[in-house]
Amino acid sequence: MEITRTVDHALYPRRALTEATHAYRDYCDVKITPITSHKSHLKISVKQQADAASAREVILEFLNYALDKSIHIHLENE
Amino acid sequence: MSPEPLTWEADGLGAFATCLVDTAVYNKTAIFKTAYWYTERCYLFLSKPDDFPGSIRLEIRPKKQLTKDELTVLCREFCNSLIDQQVRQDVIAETGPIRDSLLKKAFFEGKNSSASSIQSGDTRVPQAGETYQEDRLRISRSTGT
Repeated sequence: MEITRTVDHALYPRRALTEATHAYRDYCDVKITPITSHKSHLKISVKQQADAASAREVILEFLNYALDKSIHIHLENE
Repeated sequence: MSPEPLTWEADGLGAFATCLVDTAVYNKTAIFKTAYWYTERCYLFLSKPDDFPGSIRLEIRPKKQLTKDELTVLCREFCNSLIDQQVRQDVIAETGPIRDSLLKKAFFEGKNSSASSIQSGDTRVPQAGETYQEDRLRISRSTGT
Protein backbone atom coordinates (compact mmCIF):
# COMPACT_ATOMS: atom_id res chain seq x y z
CA MET A 1 0.00 0.00 0.00
CA GLU A 2 1.19 3.47 -0.86
CA ILE A 3 -0.27 6.92 -0.25
CA THR A 4 0.74 10.49 -0.95
CA ARG A 5 0.10 13.62 1.07
CA THR A 6 1.02 17.27 0.76
CA VAL A 7 2.30 18.60 4.07
CA ASP A 8 2.66 22.19 5.18
CA HIS A 9 5.80 22.80 7.23
CA ALA A 10 4.00 25.39 9.36
CA LEU A 11 2.04 22.39 10.67
CA TYR A 12 4.57 19.58 10.19
CA PRO A 13 8.15 20.86 10.61
CA ARG A 14 10.84 19.05 8.60
CA ARG A 15 12.42 17.78 11.82
CA ALA A 16 9.16 16.08 12.85
CA LEU A 17 8.90 14.36 9.48
CA THR A 18 12.50 13.13 9.52
CA GLU A 19 12.13 11.86 13.10
CA ALA A 20 8.91 10.04 12.20
CA THR A 21 10.55 8.58 9.09
CA HIS A 22 13.42 7.32 11.21
CA ALA A 23 11.08 5.86 13.86
CA TYR A 24 9.05 3.97 11.23
CA ARG A 25 11.99 2.94 9.03
CA ASP A 26 11.29 -0.77 9.69
CA TYR A 27 7.65 -0.48 8.64
CA CYS A 28 7.50 1.97 5.76
CA ASP A 29 9.54 3.98 3.29
CA VAL A 30 8.87 7.69 3.24
CA LYS A 31 9.99 9.93 0.41
CA ILE A 32 9.85 13.67 1.14
CA THR A 33 9.97 15.88 -1.95
CA PRO A 34 9.92 19.67 -1.46
CA ILE A 35 7.32 21.50 -3.55
CA THR A 36 7.84 25.03 -2.23
CA SER A 37 9.81 26.45 0.72
CA HIS A 38 6.94 25.62 3.07
CA LYS A 39 5.31 22.59 1.45
CA SER A 40 6.51 19.07 0.67
CA HIS A 41 5.13 16.04 -1.00
CA LEU A 42 5.11 12.91 1.15
CA LYS A 43 5.02 9.43 -0.36
CA ILE A 44 4.54 6.64 2.19
CA SER A 45 5.02 3.02 1.10
CA VAL A 46 4.43 0.17 3.53
CA LYS A 47 7.29 -2.35 3.50
CA GLN A 48 5.74 -5.64 4.53
CA GLN A 49 2.16 -5.76 3.50
CA ALA A 50 0.51 -8.46 5.60
CA ASP A 51 -2.99 -7.23 4.81
CA ALA A 52 -4.69 -3.98 3.86
CA ALA A 53 -5.87 -3.30 7.42
CA SER A 54 -2.39 -3.47 8.95
CA ALA A 55 -0.90 -1.46 6.06
CA ARG A 56 -3.56 1.21 6.70
CA GLU A 57 -2.64 1.13 10.40
CA VAL A 58 1.07 1.61 9.66
CA ILE A 59 0.40 4.66 7.46
CA LEU A 60 -2.05 6.30 9.84
CA GLU A 61 0.12 5.57 12.89
CA PHE A 62 3.05 7.15 11.04
CA LEU A 63 0.99 10.30 10.38
CA ASN A 64 -0.15 10.43 14.02
CA TYR A 65 3.45 10.04 15.17
CA ALA A 66 4.55 12.86 12.85
CA LEU A 67 1.74 15.02 14.23
CA ASP A 68 2.75 14.27 17.84
CA LYS A 69 6.35 15.24 17.05
CA SER A 70 5.16 18.41 15.31
CA ILE A 71 3.07 19.39 18.33
CA HIS A 72 6.05 18.85 20.65
CA ILE A 73 8.28 21.02 18.44
CA HIS A 74 5.62 23.72 18.19
CA LEU A 75 5.07 23.81 21.97
CA GLU A 76 8.85 23.79 22.65
CA ASN A 77 9.22 26.90 20.50
CA GLU A 78 6.38 28.79 22.20
CA MET B 1 -19.09 30.92 -0.19
CA SER B 2 -18.61 29.73 3.37
CA PRO B 3 -17.26 26.18 3.75
CA GLU B 4 -19.13 23.29 5.33
CA PRO B 5 -17.64 22.85 8.81
CA LEU B 6 -18.00 19.05 8.79
CA THR B 7 -17.92 16.86 5.68
CA TRP B 8 -17.54 13.17 4.84
CA GLU B 9 -15.10 11.69 2.39
CA ALA B 10 -13.36 8.42 1.58
CA ASP B 11 -9.99 7.48 0.08
CA GLY B 12 -7.71 4.46 -0.08
CA LEU B 13 -7.44 4.46 3.71
CA GLY B 14 -11.20 4.36 4.23
CA ALA B 15 -13.91 6.80 5.28
CA PHE B 16 -13.12 9.91 7.27
CA ALA B 17 -14.62 13.17 8.42
CA THR B 18 -13.09 16.53 7.65
CA CYS B 19 -13.43 19.56 9.82
CA LEU B 20 -12.45 23.05 8.75
CA VAL B 21 -11.17 25.19 11.62
CA ASP B 22 -10.89 28.97 11.29
CA THR B 23 -7.53 30.10 12.70
CA ALA B 24 -8.96 33.58 13.39
CA VAL B 25 -11.19 31.94 16.02
CA TYR B 26 -8.97 29.08 17.22
CA ASN B 27 -5.24 29.65 17.37
CA LYS B 28 -2.71 27.06 16.23
CA THR B 29 -1.69 26.17 19.80
CA ALA B 30 -5.29 25.37 20.76
CA ILE B 31 -5.70 23.25 17.62
CA PHE B 32 -2.42 21.42 18.29
CA LYS B 33 -3.20 20.74 21.95
CA THR B 34 -6.66 19.42 21.10
CA ALA B 35 -5.20 17.26 18.33
CA TYR B 36 -2.68 15.89 20.82
CA TRP B 37 -5.52 14.81 23.15
CA TYR B 38 -7.30 13.06 20.30
CA THR B 39 -4.39 11.15 18.74
CA GLU B 40 -5.14 8.43 21.30
CA ARG B 41 -8.70 8.03 20.02
CA CYS B 42 -8.40 8.69 16.30
CA TYR B 43 -6.03 9.24 13.41
CA LEU B 44 -5.56 12.88 12.51
CA PHE B 45 -4.02 14.70 9.62
CA LEU B 46 -3.78 18.50 9.41
CA SER B 47 -3.45 20.54 6.25
CA LYS B 48 -3.87 24.10 5.02
CA PRO B 49 -6.43 24.20 2.21
CA ASP B 50 -5.51 26.44 -0.71
CA ASP B 51 -9.13 27.56 -1.17
CA PHE B 52 -9.52 28.65 2.50
CA PRO B 53 -6.13 30.10 3.49
CA GLY B 54 -7.18 31.23 6.97
CA SER B 55 -8.20 27.72 7.95
CA ILE B 56 -6.75 24.41 9.01
CA ARG B 57 -8.37 21.29 7.62
CA LEU B 58 -8.50 18.28 9.93
CA GLU B 59 -8.96 14.72 8.70
CA ILE B 60 -10.44 12.61 11.46
CA ARG B 61 -10.42 8.82 11.11
CA PRO B 62 -11.53 6.44 13.84
CA LYS B 63 -9.01 3.91 15.15
CA LYS B 64 -11.70 1.28 15.41
CA GLN B 65 -14.74 0.68 13.23
CA LEU B 66 -17.38 3.34 13.89
CA THR B 67 -20.73 4.12 12.31
CA LYS B 68 -21.19 7.50 10.67
CA ASP B 69 -23.27 8.66 13.66
CA GLU B 70 -20.55 7.61 16.10
CA LEU B 71 -17.93 9.39 14.03
CA THR B 72 -20.14 12.49 13.99
CA VAL B 73 -20.26 12.37 17.79
CA LEU B 74 -16.47 12.03 17.92
CA CYS B 75 -16.03 15.06 15.65
CA ARG B 76 -18.44 17.14 17.68
CA GLU B 77 -16.58 16.14 20.87
CA PHE B 78 -13.39 17.24 19.16
CA CYS B 79 -14.95 20.62 18.36
CA ASN B 80 -16.09 21.03 21.97
CA SER B 81 -12.58 20.19 23.19
CA LEU B 82 -11.28 22.80 20.78
CA ILE B 83 -13.46 25.44 22.44
CA ASP B 84 -12.26 24.22 25.85
CA GLN B 85 -8.61 24.47 24.79
CA GLN B 86 -9.08 27.91 23.20
CA VAL B 87 -10.62 29.21 26.45
CA ARG B 88 -7.59 27.84 28.33
CA GLN B 89 -5.26 29.63 25.90
CA ASP B 90 -7.20 32.88 26.36
CA VAL B 91 -7.02 32.55 30.16
CA ILE B 92 -3.26 31.86 29.93
CA ALA B 93 -2.81 34.97 27.78
CA GLU B 94 -4.87 37.11 30.18
CA THR B 95 -3.40 35.86 33.44
CA GLY B 96 0.14 34.94 32.33
CA PRO B 97 1.85 38.14 33.61
CA ILE B 98 0.06 37.85 36.98
CA ARG B 99 1.07 34.18 37.30
CA ASP B 100 4.68 35.04 36.45
CA SER B 101 4.72 37.83 39.06
CA LEU B 102 3.37 35.46 41.72
CA LEU B 103 5.98 32.85 40.86
CA LYS B 104 8.78 35.43 41.00
CA LYS B 105 7.52 36.64 44.37
CA ALA B 106 7.22 33.11 45.73
CA PHE B 107 10.72 32.06 44.70
CA PHE B 108 12.72 35.28 44.99
CA GLU B 109 11.02 37.20 47.75
CA GLY B 110 13.00 39.10 50.39
CA LYS B 111 15.82 41.58 50.02
CA ASN B 112 18.36 39.10 48.62
CA SER B 113 16.50 38.45 45.41
CA SER B 114 19.60 37.76 43.34
CA ALA B 115 20.16 34.05 42.75
CA SER B 116 23.95 34.61 42.93
CA SER B 117 23.62 35.49 46.64
CA ILE B 118 22.16 32.09 47.47
CA GLN B 119 24.85 29.79 48.81
CA SER B 120 24.25 26.38 47.44
CA GLY B 121 25.89 23.40 45.81
CA ASP B 122 29.68 23.36 46.02
CA THR B 123 29.89 27.03 47.09
CA ARG B 124 28.67 26.14 50.57
CA VAL B 125 29.62 22.61 51.56
CA PRO B 126 28.45 21.58 55.07
CA GLN B 127 31.30 21.15 57.50
CA ALA B 128 31.78 18.21 59.81
CA GLY B 129 29.38 18.40 62.72
CA GLU B 130 26.94 20.73 61.00
CA THR B 131 23.34 19.57 60.80
CA TYR B 132 20.25 20.95 59.15
CA GLN B 133 18.83 21.74 62.60
CA GLU B 134 21.45 24.47 63.08
CA ASP B 135 20.17 26.11 59.89
CA ARG B 136 23.41 28.01 59.17
CA LEU B 137 21.99 29.18 55.83
CA ARG B 138 18.82 30.38 57.61
CA ILE B 139 16.58 28.60 55.18
CA SER B 140 13.72 28.35 57.64
CA ARG B 141 13.85 32.12 58.32
CA SER B 142 10.77 33.94 57.05
CA THR B 143 11.68 36.44 54.35
CA GLY B 144 8.21 37.75 53.61
CA THR B 145 7.26 41.34 54.30
